[in-house]
Amino acid sequence: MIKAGPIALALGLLAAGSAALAQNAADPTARARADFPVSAAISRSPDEAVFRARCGYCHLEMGFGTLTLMKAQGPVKALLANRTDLEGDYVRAVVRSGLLGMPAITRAEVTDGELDAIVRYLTRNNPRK
Amino acid sequence: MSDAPLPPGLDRASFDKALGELRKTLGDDKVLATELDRQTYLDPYALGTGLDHESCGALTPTSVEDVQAIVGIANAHKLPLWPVARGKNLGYGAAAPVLAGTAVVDMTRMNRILDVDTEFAHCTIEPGVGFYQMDEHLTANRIPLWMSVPANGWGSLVGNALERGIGYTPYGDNTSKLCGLEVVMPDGKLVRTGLGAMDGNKAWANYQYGFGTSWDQMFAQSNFGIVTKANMWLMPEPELSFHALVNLPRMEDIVWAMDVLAKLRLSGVVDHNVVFGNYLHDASAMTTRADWYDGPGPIPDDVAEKIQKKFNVGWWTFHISVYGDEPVAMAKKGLIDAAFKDKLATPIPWVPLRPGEPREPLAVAAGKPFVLPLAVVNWMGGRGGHIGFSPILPPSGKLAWEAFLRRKKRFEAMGLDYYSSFTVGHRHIANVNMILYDRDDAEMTKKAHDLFVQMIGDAREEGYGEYRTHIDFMDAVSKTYDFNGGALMRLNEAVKDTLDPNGIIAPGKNGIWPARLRKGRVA
Ligand SMILES: Cc1cc2nc3c(=O)[nH]c(=O)nc-3n(C[C@H](O)[C@H](O)[C@H](O)COP(=O)(O)OP(=O)(O)OC[C@H]3O[C@@H](n4cnc5c(N)ncnc54)[C@H](O)[C@@H]3O)c2cc1C
Ligand code: HEC
Repeated sequence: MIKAGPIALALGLLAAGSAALAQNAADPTARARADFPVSAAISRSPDEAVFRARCGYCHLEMGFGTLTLMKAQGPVKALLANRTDLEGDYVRAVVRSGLLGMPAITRAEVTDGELDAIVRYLTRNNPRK
Repeated sequence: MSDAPLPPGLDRASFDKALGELRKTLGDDKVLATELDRQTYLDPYALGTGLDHESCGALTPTSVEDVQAIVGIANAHKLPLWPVARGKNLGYGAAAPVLAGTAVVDMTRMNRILDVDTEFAHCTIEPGVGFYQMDEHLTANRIPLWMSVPANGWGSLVGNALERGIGYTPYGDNTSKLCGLEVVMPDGKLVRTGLGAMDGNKAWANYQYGFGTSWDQMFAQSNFGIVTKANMWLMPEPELSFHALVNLPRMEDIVWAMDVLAKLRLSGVVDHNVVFGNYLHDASAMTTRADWYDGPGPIPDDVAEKIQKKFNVGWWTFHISVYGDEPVAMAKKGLIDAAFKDKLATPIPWVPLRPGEPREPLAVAAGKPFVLPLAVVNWMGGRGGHIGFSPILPPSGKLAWEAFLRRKKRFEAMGLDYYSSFTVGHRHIANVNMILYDRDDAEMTKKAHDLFVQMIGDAREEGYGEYRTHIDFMDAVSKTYDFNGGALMRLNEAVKDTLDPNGIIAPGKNGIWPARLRKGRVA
């Protein structure tokens, strides 16, 4: 038997509910949460869960995107989740067109509804204009 | 604003009609055909613009019925389809088709984990199931089974296995871990291979061959159907494993080291694919070329030495592991220590891993997905890309050395950095020669292209061929398999024409063209 950490324990429940979640098509964040129950469990909002599920491959600590941005722009701008200077339209353009080493991401991988959620999450701390 | 490229034989009106029917049947949200959509399906590492492989859009089925409907409409209109699982085949064309105007069938959203059998260690999954998704499923449900993952973990278990991809645990020959497929054939009929040919057979995922002819491999690297489900074997978590990184200072060390590793592989003491790479393996993941050298031509040997010092690596580095119940793992570790005892200056720095301990630091060696190796594309600066030329050799130190010398010379004559690894399989070496380039440097991409073509010819002359290739080179590589005037390709074509008379599934995949598109392509 492997020892279960606190996250894994909390998750037994979540994984069981995932099929029901996926059915709820009206909520554009449901599918990402169902696909990635561990990420969803440590997220503070459904929008964050979508970001972790779809962008987490490269934009969490030690990710390919994070390390590349660290080198180009320094530690403050390395983690997208901490940024306050990303415009929504810029995020959308980077996701659909790619940027240097970041490949473009299709609407099969990230739906328009999911991209809306990701943009809300990444711009949540931007100074109000 | 540019229009979608049309597949051969379709005019704008008939194409629009086909697309209209697809929209009506599947729903608008499953037909991704805007100009921006098409752009997202271009090969991000293309040697050039990638527009020569531009799709006409993508279809995103979520069920077997969707796939069958797509195949039906495609047959009626002779619309070619390019099935991908998650389409992250980076370095080989990603999700882009060989033939411009083909519609990508992107199974990313057909990603249900239908079953994981914890007792007998297998799973039944749809093609869109990603490595990270499966990892979270196993973690969330505390299932002590390991996947075998490639060094790019962004893709899918099924897509990788169908392309004969490799991982680095004892289950690393991924295609050999498929155990029964469900396939939509080119005529739309649903077939199950292996024991699954018996409706409700309870051992489908436990025994690979079935009764009579065995077809699973027919659907790997080919264009004879669209896989909609697969059973795959997973590895029971070992009681104990040990992992080590070994550095070899000199170029020539590859000769004896390959021989030692090949013996350990053959006897079964080492039972995983051993990645044996040159110093650029680490340097390119952490730094860029400009950090070291900004002169023209390939990196000079003295700069190479500086890089090796900085990363505390030798000319070569390899990763080696043992897995098993405690006495087995201990014994294997002992045998490996003995095999290297007189060869290495310092003992092998083993790191143990037991259940419950974090596997992330060991990544692929412990079946944990990561994507950090994608950073190699940053090496040249700009919009980076890479392609790999990967011939298969017998596992001999002498042959590896000869291949190494010839390839290195070719890279350097072309003015490109030599980056290579020799992955030691059970009875072979996959010699992956990585060509890194800046896509926006037209001269460099042309050199990369020319070098690739040169190496296809060189290897053919030496009597070696590739195990997998990029969409640009599928015809050229398939032609090197030339026994008896290309008899194997004639067989492939006979199968293709029988099963897929309209030639709709993946025209050109691995050099196999349907009759209506064959003329003038195959000599
Ligand atoms: C830095 C780097 C490191 C890499 N390391 C490795 C490695 O260690 N090992 C390795 O194997 N690869 C490696 N790759 C290559 C590649 O990224 C992986 O193999 C990846 O898993 C392939 O993407 P995928 O799983 O999404 O497959 P896909 O792109 O979805 O599929 C690959 C091919 O399989 C066929 N296929 C897929 N689905 C179906 C279907 N349903 N029906 C019929 N045919 C289908 C198609 O021909 C398709 O083109 C690496 C790439 C990079 C850039
Ligand atoms: C496969 C890895 C990968 C994935 C997945 C990925 N990115 Fe990136 N991303 C990168 C890399 C690498 C960079 C740095 C590009 C550069 O400047 O060299 C980057 C850069 C960015 C930038 C630019 C930041 C800046 O300061 O200019 C944005 C915005 C971004 N990514 C958003 C996203 C979003 C949103 C997602 C998820 C939908 C995502 N990325 C998924 C690899 C990735």
